[in-house]
Amino acid sequence: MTGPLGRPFALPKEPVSCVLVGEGYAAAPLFPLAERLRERGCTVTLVVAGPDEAHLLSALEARRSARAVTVVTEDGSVGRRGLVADVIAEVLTKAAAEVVYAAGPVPTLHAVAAAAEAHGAWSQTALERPLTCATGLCHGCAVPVVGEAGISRTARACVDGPVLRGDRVRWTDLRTDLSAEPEAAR
Amino acid sequence: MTDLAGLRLASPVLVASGCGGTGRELAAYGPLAELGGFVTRTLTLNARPGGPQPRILETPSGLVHAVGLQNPGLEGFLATELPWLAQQGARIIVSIAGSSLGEYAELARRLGGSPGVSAIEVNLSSPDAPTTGVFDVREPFHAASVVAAVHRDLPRGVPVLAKLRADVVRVVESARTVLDAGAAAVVVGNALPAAMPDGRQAGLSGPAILPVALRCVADLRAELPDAEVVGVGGITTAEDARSFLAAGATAVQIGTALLHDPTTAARVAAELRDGVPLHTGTSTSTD
Ligand SMILES: Cc1cc2nc3c(=O)[nH]c(=O)nc-3n(C[C@H](O)[C@H](O)[C@H](O)COP(=O)(O)O)c2cc1C
Repeated sequence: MTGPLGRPFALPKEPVSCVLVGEGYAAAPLFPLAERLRERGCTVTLVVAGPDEAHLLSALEARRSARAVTVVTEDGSVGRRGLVADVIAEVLTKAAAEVVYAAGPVPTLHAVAAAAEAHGAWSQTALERPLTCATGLCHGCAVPVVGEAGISRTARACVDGPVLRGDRVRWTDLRTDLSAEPEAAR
Repeated sequence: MTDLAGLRLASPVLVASGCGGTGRELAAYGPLAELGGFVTRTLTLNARPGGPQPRILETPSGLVHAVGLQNPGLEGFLATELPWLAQQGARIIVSIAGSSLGEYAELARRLGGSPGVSAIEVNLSSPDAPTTGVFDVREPFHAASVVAAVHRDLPRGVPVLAKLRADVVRVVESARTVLDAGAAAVVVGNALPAAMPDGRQAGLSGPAILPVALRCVADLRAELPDAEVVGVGGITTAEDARSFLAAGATAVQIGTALLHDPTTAARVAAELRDGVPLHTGTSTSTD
């Protein structure tokens, strides 16, 4: 056994307004994150999304850990009908968000990162990539990013991530790259 | 101690190309200086972003992979990775590939003069070479011209290791040709040519290919008894390594097993050095 591996969500030093977006099972780590943010005096707003009610992580638990919760399902079986992309801008504005945390499929992370940038908030996105070695040895989990001085480079989701700054990921390149991989691209 | 290609190595166990990251990630699991050597992932003159996803998939007892030679290019390597590796006291073997003989020669010139570089491993066997645009060396004659070009531009004392495909039918002929062209040793071998489920060119490595690589080493020993051979393919345990050494390999490299357990190379090196209880519970030692 070895761990912990990689880089986690970075916590803000100041008590700021935070929006946490989780889609599907990937939303799970956001609940403990919400706890830690609240301990630091941050205001926490949650967006929980999934294809339908059966694939939604506990909205009840979400209500316990956040001041405001928005539930979104694709089929509208509970909460608002639609995608995270449809509601995120409004949520960020309402919460006056300064930091956005997101976990879920790549298109959702892309939408959140773009909305955060438009809103002037920092975003931290947890990428879910198949990891072969998980220790940085194999270069299997490449993620195209913008590095220092704007230079394009390739990060490894396992050691440089899985949490990467949303404004650093080259989302369009990543999505093109994943198009051969139906499950992750979803 | 192991003598390979005129170099004295701390152990007969080396890290195979492309399976040790930049070295930093692996060093978290044991000092690199205690290994026989660290072979870098294959470097090209210019940086390469690597291929599309998926790059690596699991197969029964192995991995199929098409990383596409992702690397920071010669400049990036010299600026950031080499100085750090040298500081660790690691025996550094730089793996190279070029798209032309001129590129190979330039890589050899620049690397051969860089402090800390012990040897050059010429990657003549990339299983996805045609898609990565490296100089086509499927013909032994072309492989030999690459080795000759690299050898000519390296300072004395920096040997060329030629990494071949574990192609049982052609390995003896290939080895003979590259040794005649100036290679000090042959490394057998690379991942076997394979395909991804979507048909892309890829390599197959891991325990699944061990018997094939072992056969190549045995054939080389029989046909070219004076050749120095480094065995690589599927080694996971000290017992596997001993099979290769017994078949005539001077040293071994460990690749895929590190991706499963990053301590494998350190563990196998320690077991070969100290001798450890095997399954039988008796203690064995190797010279
Ligand atoms: C993810 C991965 C990347 C590799 N990259 C390289 C490379 O850049 N250059 C090279 O010569 N061999 C490369 N190899 C091949 C290995 O060095 C080794 O020759 C082969 O995998 C067989 O050994 P193994 O079964 O112990 O891995 C790579 C193998 C893997 C699994």
